[in-house]
Amino acid sequence: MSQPAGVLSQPGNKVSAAALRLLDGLLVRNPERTAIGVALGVAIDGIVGVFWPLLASRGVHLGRPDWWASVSIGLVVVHLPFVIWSIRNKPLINDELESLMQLIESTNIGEVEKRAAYRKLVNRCIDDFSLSNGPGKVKGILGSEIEAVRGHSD
Amino acid sequence: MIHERRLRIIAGFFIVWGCAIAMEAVTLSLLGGETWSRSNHVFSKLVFMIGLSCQLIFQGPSRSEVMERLRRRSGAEACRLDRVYLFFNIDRTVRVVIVVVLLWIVGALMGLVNGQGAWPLTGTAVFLALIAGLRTVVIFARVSAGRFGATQYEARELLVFLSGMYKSSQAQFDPPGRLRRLVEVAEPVTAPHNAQVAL
Repeated sequence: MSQPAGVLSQPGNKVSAAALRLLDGLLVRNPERTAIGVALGVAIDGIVGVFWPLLASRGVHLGRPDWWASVSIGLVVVHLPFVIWSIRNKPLINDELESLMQLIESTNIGEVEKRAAYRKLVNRCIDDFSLSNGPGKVKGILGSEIEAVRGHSD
Repeated sequence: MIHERRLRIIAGFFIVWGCAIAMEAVTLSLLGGETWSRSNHVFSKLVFMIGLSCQLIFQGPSRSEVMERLRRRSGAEACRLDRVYLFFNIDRTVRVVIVVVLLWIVGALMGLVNGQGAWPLTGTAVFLALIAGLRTVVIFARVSAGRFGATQYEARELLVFLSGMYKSSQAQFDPPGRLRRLVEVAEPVTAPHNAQVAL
């Protein structure tokens, strides 16, 4: 698998890209946290199961919640950082990279050129991370990249 | 590095056991002897289950350790960012499936003990495992075809992965050679959409 086989056709490429986004959406972008969330939900269900008769015997009738409600609570708890991030609307990487990607997406170029632009962007970042000793260099290179793309789009 | 990881796993396992025992002591003092014996040690069992799940999932190799393994196995030339991302995700998926199997066993035991709760939990566990497995298959297909990282979503994923890799191990980022770039797939050049409309 060192060299790409190039077996994905154009529709296959689109379908697999959409499927990946869909699956990530179902797993809320993080399979590990989702698995932990389900385990936590089971734990919450068990704890509620223990306290429920105790509370009922003392006159507090809250009702027995369904198992899926406990699992939902567990999932929300473990994904809380992601939920907060979504509310604050902060970029996942940094502002320059986000704006550069928005620029590529909104520029009226063909699909193939867009793909090449994304690959080029990732490759520039790989080069920069691999060769520099500090993280400060990323901004400078991305700045020039933004200028280059803006020049083309103008 | 491997020695350090083993120590981490063993220490994590003892911490989980310690937490379960502490939970037993706390519930005994809070609930009293009679209620505690009736609770069937459910609290310590749940703490142990959650602790073991976290241990299994989060004690996996780091991003740079995966890169190092890939470099040793396939050589420096094959050590591309998308492949490192793929192997990191395969490892994560295997761990998720192990945790899901653990949940399934718990669900089955619950079903044996009180005759309910087995099927919903088993169904959730199997569904989760299937989605996680399918996700890895899709990533594998895209990486194999050299198409991964060529959409906005995937480029963002790779860049987040790359920055996480760099932050977690700044000193040992790319010895003995550089991380390879994504392969430029030769594709036919198409005219922009507006040009096609104009024609």
